[in-house]
Amino acid sequence: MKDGAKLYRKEISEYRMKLLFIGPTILVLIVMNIFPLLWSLGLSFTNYSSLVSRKISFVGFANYAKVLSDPLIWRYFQITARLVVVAVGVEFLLGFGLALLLKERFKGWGLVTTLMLIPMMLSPVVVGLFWTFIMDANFGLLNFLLSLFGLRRVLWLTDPKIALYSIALVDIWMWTPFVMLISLTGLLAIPQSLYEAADIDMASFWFKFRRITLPLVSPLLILAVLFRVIDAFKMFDLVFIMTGGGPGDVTETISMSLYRLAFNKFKTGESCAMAYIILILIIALSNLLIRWIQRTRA
Amino acid sequence: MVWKVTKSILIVLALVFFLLPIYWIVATSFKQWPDIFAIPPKFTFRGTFVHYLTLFNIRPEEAAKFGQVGKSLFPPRFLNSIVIAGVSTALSVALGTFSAYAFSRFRVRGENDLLFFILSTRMLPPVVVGIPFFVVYRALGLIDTHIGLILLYMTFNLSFSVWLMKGFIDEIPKEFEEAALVDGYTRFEAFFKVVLPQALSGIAATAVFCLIAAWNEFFFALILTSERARTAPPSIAAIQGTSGINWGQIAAGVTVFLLPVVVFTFLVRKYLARGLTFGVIKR
Amino acid sequence: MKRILGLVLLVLVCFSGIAFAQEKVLSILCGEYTPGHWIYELAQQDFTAKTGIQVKFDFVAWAQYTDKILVTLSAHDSSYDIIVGDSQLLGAAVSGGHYVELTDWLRENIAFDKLAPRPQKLYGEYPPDSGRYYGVSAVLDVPIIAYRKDLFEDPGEQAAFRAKYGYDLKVPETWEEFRDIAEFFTRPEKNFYGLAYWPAKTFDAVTMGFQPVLWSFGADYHAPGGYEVEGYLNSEAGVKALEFYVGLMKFAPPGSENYYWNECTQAFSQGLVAMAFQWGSWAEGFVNPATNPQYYDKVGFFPFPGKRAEDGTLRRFASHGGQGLNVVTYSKNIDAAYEFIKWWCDEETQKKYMAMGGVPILTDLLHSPEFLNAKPYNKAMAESFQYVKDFWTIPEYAALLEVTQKYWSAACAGMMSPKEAMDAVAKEHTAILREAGYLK
Repeated sequence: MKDGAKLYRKEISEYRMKLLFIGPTILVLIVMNIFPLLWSLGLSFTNYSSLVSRKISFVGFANYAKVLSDPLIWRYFQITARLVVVAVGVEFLLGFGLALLLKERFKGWGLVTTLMLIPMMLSPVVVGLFWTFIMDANFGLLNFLLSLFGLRRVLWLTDPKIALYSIALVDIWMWTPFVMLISLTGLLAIPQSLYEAADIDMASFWFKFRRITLPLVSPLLILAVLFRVIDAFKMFDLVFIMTGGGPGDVTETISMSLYRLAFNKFKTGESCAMAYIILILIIALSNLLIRWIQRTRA
Repeated sequence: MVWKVTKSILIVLALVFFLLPIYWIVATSFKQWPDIFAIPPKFTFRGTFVHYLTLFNIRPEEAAKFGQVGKSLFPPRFLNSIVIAGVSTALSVALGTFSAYAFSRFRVRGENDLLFFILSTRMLPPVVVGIPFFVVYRALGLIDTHIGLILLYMTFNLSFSVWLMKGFIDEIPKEFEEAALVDGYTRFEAFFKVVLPQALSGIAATAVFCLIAAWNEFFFALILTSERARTAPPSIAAIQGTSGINWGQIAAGVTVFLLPVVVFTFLVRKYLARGLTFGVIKR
Repeated sequence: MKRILGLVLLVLVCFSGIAFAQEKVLSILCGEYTPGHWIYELAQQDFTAKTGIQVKFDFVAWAQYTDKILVTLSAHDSSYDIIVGDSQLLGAAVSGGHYVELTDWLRENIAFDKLAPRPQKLYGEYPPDSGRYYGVSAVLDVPIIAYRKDLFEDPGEQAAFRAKYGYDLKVPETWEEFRDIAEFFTRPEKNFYGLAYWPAKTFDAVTMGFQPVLWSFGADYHAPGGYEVEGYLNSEAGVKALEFYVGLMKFAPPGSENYYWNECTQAFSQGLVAMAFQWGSWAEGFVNPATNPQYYDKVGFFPFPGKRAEDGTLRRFASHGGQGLNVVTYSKNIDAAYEFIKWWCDEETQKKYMAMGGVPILTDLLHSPEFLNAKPYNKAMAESFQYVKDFWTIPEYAALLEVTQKYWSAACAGMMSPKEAMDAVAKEHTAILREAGYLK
C-alpha cells in the first residue's frame, strides 16, 4: 500500500517533469516558428509580391510548377551540389585527419586546439570581405605567397574555372575546425582498452583503424557532416560578397538565386515556393544521413 | 620518431593555414592606410593604434579624416552583442539541457518525430522568413528590443542545443541517478544534484557553439533593429568612409569582436574536447 | 519556477518600458556613403537648431540596403519616417503604396520650379512623365572617370603618346581616344595598367559601366518608344559596343573582372592604374588625403566619353544613379518629415550642403561657379548630368538587370563571345517582357 502510493506519486511527477522539461522547448519552437512557416507556406500558393502588391490572389501550385520547370534552377542546384560536395568532402577528410593528429595530447595542446577553432568564430560576412581582399589578384596575400614559391598568379575569384573552388576553399578554411572538433571528441571517447586488446593480438595499424576507430567515430562524423550539409546548402553570405554569383553564373548557388527572387525581383510567392522545395530537399538529404548514422550505430 | 616529426610538421602547417588569414586581419587593424594595400603585401610595418582609437571614440577626429561622421557606434553595439548573445546562449543551453534530459531518460511519445521537428526548424532558408518574423515582432512590439533578438537567437540555437545535450546526457550512466533516487532524492533533486554536474562539460561545449552562432548573426540583427538593440556585426560591415571600405577600422572591429569568443573558448577548452558527443536518434 | 517566471516578466517589462519612453525624433534610413554623412552632419547642425526636431540616421551597408528597405516597407513599419531611397526602388515602392505622394504638397510648400527638373523627375516621379511626385532629389549621382593628372601632363608621356598615336594626350572625348590612352598606359612589366573599370557581376556593376557605351554606339535596350528588344539590343551596333567594352579588359589589371566602386578606388590609390571608373558619390575617396595619400593631389576627372555619329555629332551618355528623399506612408511623424523636406529644398541649406562637397538639387546652384569649383570632380559630374539616361524603369527592372549582369560579366570574363552574350540577353529580355505582358 505504502509502496503503491509512492509509485503513484512518482508516476505523476515523471509526467509533469516531462511536460516541464520538454514543454517550454517545443512551445518556444512552435510559437516562434509557426507563423513564419505558415506565412511562407501560404504565400507560396499566391502571386504576392512584397513591396509591390496591394492585393493577393491565389494561384494554386503555379509557383511550384514555375520554379521546377525553370532549367536555370537545376543548373543552380548543380552548382550548389558541387560546392557542397567539394567543401564538405574536404572538410570531412581534413577535419578528421587533423583530429587524428591531435588525438594524443602534447605540450600546448589546449592552446593549439583553441587557435585552430578561431576561423569558425568569425561571421561569414567578415570572412567573405577579408578573403576577397586576400584573394585579390594584385595586392592579395595569396598570390604574393604563390610568387614566393615561383608560382604564377591565380585569378581566384575571376577565373570561371576556379571561382567556385575558391569559395569552397574559404568554406573549408572556416568550417574544417568544426568537423575537427567533433571528430576529436569522438576519438577521445573511444575506450583505450579496445586498442590494448588489439595490440595483444598484434593487429596492424590499419586493422585497428578500420575495425575500431572508424566504426566508433563514424556516427559522430556523419552527424558533423549532416550539420555542415544543412548549412552549406544554404550558404549565401560568402558567395554574395565574394563573387555575387559571377563571373557569368558560375558561382550562382541556389540561395543566391532565392535571394534575388525574394529581394531583387520582389517575387515573394515564388520565392516561398522555392524555399519549400529547398526545405524538402534538405529534409530528404538529412533523413538519408540520419539513416546512415543509425546503420553505422547498429 | 619519423612519425612524430611528420606529425609536428603537419600540425604546424595546419596552424599556418588556419591562422595566417587571422593574422592578416589583426595586422591590418594596426596598419596605416597605404600599407594595407601595399604591393607586395607588407609583413612588417609601422604600427598604429588609430583604428582602435577611432573605433572607441577616443580620437574621433581621425574618423572624420576618413569621411566618417558622428560617434562610432561600435561601443554600444558591442555591449548589445554581449547582452543579447550572452542571455540567448544561456537560455538556449538551459532549455536544451532540460529537454535533452527528458528525451534521454523518459519514454516520450513520438520522440523521433519531435527530435526531427526540432532539427528541421533550422533548415528553412532565412531569406523567406525575414518578413514574417518582422510582422510578428511588430505586432508584439518586439522590433528593436533586446528581448526580441534574445528570443530569436534562443530559438535558432535550440535545435542544436537539444541534439548536442542529448548526446552528452545519453552518455551519463543511469545508475548514478537511480542510486540517488533510492537514497530518497526526488527526480528534480537527482537531476540538479547528480546529472547536471556530470553534464557540465557538455554544457560548456554547447554554449560555445551557441555563442558563436548568436554572436555572429547578421541578417536578423539588421532587419529587426534600427538603433537601440542593434548588435555589432551589421555595424562592423558598414564602416566605410569615403573610400568604399575602411579596412583598417573594420579589421580593428573584427579583432575586438573576436576576443570575447576566443577567451570564452579558451576558458572552457578542457571541457570542449572531453565529452563532446552528439545525440543520435535511435529508432 | 514561479520566481524565474516572475523575473523573466520583470525583464520583459523593463525592456518594453524603454520602448514606450522614446522621444519624438525624425528617423531616416540611408545607405552608407559620404553624401549621406554630409546630409546627416548638416541636419545635426542646422535642421535641429532651426526646428528643434532631433534627427537620427540609420546608415546601412549597400550590400544589405535593399533587404532592410524591403522588409521595413513590406511590413508597413513606422520605424523610419524618411527613406533615402534608390531611384530603382521608386516604382515598386510607389506601386505598393509605401511612399507618400508629394505632388500637391511640393507645389504649395517649396519653390518647386527651382529644383533641377531632370533629377527631380528621375528621383521623384512615378510613373515616368506622369507629373506625380513621390520624392525629392537628395543625392544626385552619376559615374565619372578619374585619371592621373600627373601622367597626362607629363611632357615625356605626351611626346611618346603623340609619336605613337599622332594626336595629343589629353582628356578623351571619344571612346576610341579613351581606348588609345588605356592602351598607352598599360605597362604590365611595371605592374601598371590603363584603367580599372566595371566588368563585375556584383550589384549592377557591368550594366552601369557598359550601358553608356551601348547607347553611344547607337544601340539601345529596346525599340524607340516600344518594348521590342530583338534587333535593337543585339543589333550590329550593340554587339560592336560590347566587343569594345570587353576589349578594354586587355588594359585592366589581371583579375579585375570583379571590380566595382570599392576596388576601383583601391586600385587607383595604390598606383595600379592610370584611369578608373567611379560613381560621383564615391569620388571623394580619390581626393581625400587620408584614403588616397599618394595621389590625392594628382587626380583629375572627366565624364564618360562618347562616339561620333556619322553626321559628326558626339553621342555621349551616362548611367544614372543616386537617391531621393521619400516619405514613408506609415510614418507617425509625417509633419516632421515634411518639415525636413522643406528644409532640405531651401536654398540656404543647399548652399551649405554644396560647401561641404555635396551636389545641390537646385538648378541655379548646380550651374553656379561655386559648385563647379567646390570639389575637383564637380565639373565632370555637372557635365555628365546632361547625358544621363536610364536603364529600364518598369517594375521588372530587377529581372532584366539580372540577365544583363549575368551575360555581360560572362563576356568580360571571356566565357562567351560578345555576340553570344548580346543575343542571349535579347532573348531573355524578350521572354521577361512577354511574360509581363509588354510584348505580345
